[in-house]
Amino acid sequence: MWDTLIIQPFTNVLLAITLVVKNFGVAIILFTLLIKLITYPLTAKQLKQTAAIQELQNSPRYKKMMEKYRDNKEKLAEEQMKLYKETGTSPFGSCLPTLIQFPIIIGLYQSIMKAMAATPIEILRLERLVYPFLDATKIIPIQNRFLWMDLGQPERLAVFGVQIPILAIIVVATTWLQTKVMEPPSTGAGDQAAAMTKSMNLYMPLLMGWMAYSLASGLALYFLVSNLATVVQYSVTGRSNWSKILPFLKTKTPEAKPAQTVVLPDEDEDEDDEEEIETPKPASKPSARAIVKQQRPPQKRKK
Amino acid sequence: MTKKVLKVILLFIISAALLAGCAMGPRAESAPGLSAGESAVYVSYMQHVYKVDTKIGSELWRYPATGSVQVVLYAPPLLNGNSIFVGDLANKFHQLDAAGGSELWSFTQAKGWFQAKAATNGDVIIAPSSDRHVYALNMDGSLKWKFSGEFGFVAEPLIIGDSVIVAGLDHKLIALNIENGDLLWETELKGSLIAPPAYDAASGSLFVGSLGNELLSIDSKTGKRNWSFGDNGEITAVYATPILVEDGLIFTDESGKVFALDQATGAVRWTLDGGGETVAGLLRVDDTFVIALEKGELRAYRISDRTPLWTRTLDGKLYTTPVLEAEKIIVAVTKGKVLLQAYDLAGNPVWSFTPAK
Repeated sequence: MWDTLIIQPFTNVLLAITLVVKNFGVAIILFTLLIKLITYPLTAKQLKQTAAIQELQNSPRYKKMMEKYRDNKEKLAEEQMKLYKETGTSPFGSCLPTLIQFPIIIGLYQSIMKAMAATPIEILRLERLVYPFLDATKIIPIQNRFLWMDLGQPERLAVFGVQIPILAIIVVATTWLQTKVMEPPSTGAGDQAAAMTKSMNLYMPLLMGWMAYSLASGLALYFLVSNLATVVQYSVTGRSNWSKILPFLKTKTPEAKPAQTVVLPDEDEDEDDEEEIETPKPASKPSARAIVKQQRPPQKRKK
Repeated sequence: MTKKVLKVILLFIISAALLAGCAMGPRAESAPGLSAGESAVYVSYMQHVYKVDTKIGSELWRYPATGSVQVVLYAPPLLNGNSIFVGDLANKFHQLDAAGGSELWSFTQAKGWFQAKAATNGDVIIAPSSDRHVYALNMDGSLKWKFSGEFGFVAEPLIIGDSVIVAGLDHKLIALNIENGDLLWETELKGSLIAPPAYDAASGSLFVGSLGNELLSIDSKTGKRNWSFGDNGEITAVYATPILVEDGLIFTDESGKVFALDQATGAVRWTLDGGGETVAGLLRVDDTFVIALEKGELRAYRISDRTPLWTRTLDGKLYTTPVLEAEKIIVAVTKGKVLLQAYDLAGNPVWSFTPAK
């Protein structure tokens, strides 16, 4: 099922590109970009949802609520859900696009692995994967020389007799760049998410670098192109945080973004004054009910 | 909070270590490499080469003694006198002591995997590699010459006098001068060549199949085609070497169809449905041939009248050509309960071998 729906079509598209461009390295680059392009609407939606949640979590109301119900987790969760509902956001909103993208990314990786068949059994499996209209005899074996690399082998460039893993180094650099660009602005000194992101930023480049160092360079090339494409996607959607890398650039905080100002009912029973908070524009089109709710004048709860 | 961060860091370290551990070893899936000689069978699979006694199927030694994920072996070992020659997927080629399994030397200049069985004439060892080179080594492990091809090599070389015939994934069958590696001739086929050709010394003909759905007869002196079979879509991909019978040859294609052709003309003598997809080669035992079906079935037929003699079913896949040693048919199983299964010539199970952990 997985092979028929994901691996087989992906592998055949990759092989078809290879037949056209006559270069497996270029085919990997084009195929990775194609997949990134196809999944772009999902990525954009995910980024929008994530930003909306971040903006909401930076709002004074949210912080106040967090402080107030610090010792009552049940009530805090209830209030949070209420707030998410009122503002048309969902903490799980960014999960669905990620979940949909996940099998595609896995499929992309596996199809590149399949196409780089090097043993008789792997060649047999590849031959059986190829659709009849693509002539398997012309495709196999795949010419996997690209620049100085043999895409089926780990990459090393001999510089004055020293074997340097250039591609692995570039993968480390671009993974670091990607994690930095994607890093959300910290919401405070005690921000757990920021602390976790920092630890991830340290280990992810090392992990990806080690994989690029030891695996076939065709996969390292995929890691590189994927990293760069992600950075470009973030930049295009305006979500990139370049100030993390280039400190002279002005930090683009979530507050600086245009936000929809709505007046929400103050849930605090002890305070009669209304609280105005900035809430982000919902990522998805708000329902008519939500619009009506937003336009409704503030109400006070019956005591 | 600190605890949570520490947990995340710990999780990443464990994941990194696990993934890195996997990444360190060659990522390849292949079938056991099998060979036999001197009342022993040698099999390369995963982290070891095993020497197994053919009488009772007991392990005599394994190399390396302690397995490592960095070293994976699939190439069939070559037995030559008191030595075993075998390459691995860590790009190294070894000479081992056949009696005890200790390493005598290692050749480490290759940049790709050794998947093919090596060949030797007693003076030179020919070891093709996936790094697009055919390496010729002196008997002390030093490099004599190397030949550069377009793609990798996975087929065992065939030494005929002063020349060595090598089948390549680049669709070419080449002949090299064994003394210096000079190209003597090359013939291009329609598809990749996975297995070496069969050689008939009387006619000087080579018989080789390719993934291009064809089987060719080629003159071993000149590389010229004598005839080709499969031009009209009669066969599918050929993954194994044909067997020679008197003035004919028998081979199977991927679909499992068995063909008997006339050696001189390529005319079809008879065909037979083997019963399933087949990648492994046929094994000839007197007037019997044994076919190993991919689905795990072993079938024996009488050659003269194609009468089915016996069928045995194994748990696992069969991709490796069975071998005959000490009156036993020995089969290597991929992803099965056992690694080796031995039968007597009547198809009765004699012993099985599963490596101890």
